[in-house]
Amino acid sequence: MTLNVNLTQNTPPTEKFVLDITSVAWHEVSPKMRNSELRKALKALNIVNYTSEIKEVYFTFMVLPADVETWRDSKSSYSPQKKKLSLIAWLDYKKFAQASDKEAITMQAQTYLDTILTFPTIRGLKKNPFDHQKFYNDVKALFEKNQWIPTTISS
Amino acid sequence: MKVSQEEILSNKIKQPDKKSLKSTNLSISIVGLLLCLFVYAVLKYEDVVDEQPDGTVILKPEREAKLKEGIKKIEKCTQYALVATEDGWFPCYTCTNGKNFIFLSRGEIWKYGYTCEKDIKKDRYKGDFPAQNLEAIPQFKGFLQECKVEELRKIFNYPILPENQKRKLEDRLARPAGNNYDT
Repeated sequence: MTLNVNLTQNTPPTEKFVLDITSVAWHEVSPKMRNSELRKALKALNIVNYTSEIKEVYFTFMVLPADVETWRDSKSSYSPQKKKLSLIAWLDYKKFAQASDKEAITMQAQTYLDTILTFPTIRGLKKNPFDHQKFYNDVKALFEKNQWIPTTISS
Repeated sequence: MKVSQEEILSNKIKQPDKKSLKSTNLSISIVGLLLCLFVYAVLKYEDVVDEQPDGTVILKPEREAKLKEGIKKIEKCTQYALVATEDGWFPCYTCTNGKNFIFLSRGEIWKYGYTCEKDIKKDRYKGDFPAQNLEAIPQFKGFLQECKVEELRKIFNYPILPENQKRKLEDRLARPAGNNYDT
């Protein structure tokens, strides 16, 4: 017998997400951020398929006008002690502000993919096994399925 | 706590022995030494000023640069809100209903803050926020004092925001769930 109970409204969370997407986005562009949709799509992936070293991956999109200098030096980093990868990716503020909703999520999705390719350059991470190419391919397939990026036809 | 003479005489209150007096003296000596080093490290007039041939005095270039850097740092601050990106449960530091979590709908405020840090790594969030499903929305940029005023205004006005007012009376908050303190 299966017991179906919807606990969403009654129970605090106990699950620890390992693939999180968030942002630091200026108030005028923050409604355009599609972090929730990206995060939901990534729930289809399990980080243990790519690494045994990393437990948590946090991805932060930074979308700030040029004259906002705070957070400007933020960079991706890896903490071997906490087994935590903190990724920072900057989106062009003007382009993002002028983008349509469809173009905005494409910018986010493409930037996410481009950032995966920078994994080997993150200090400390290159010594640890992370199959970033497999991760890239799986994320790309997910984004293509959602039509956030153009589909590539492989020969 | 008041201690009577009788209590001391009757040994009810333990008096310091020679050993502990010795260690206290040692601590005082260390503190004194550190204080001397601190006084020595304090900037001297001649460290910060150059005297010109005509007798006028000007700040040394490195001091001038440090001044500009210091002013620039407090000129470029940001007041921000941490808001829920999804409906769900979030840690609640200000709940008075006996619960440690609060249910926030997407877009509702978890915390107000301000920062002058250019590098988020040195800032308190270290790349990820204190709870899942939060995002930072910078709302105001300006001098440190202006950002602090904005932050205070928002924290203090939070109780009358519609998102707080719509809660049951016992679930309403005096400050956002993530703001432990007024400032």
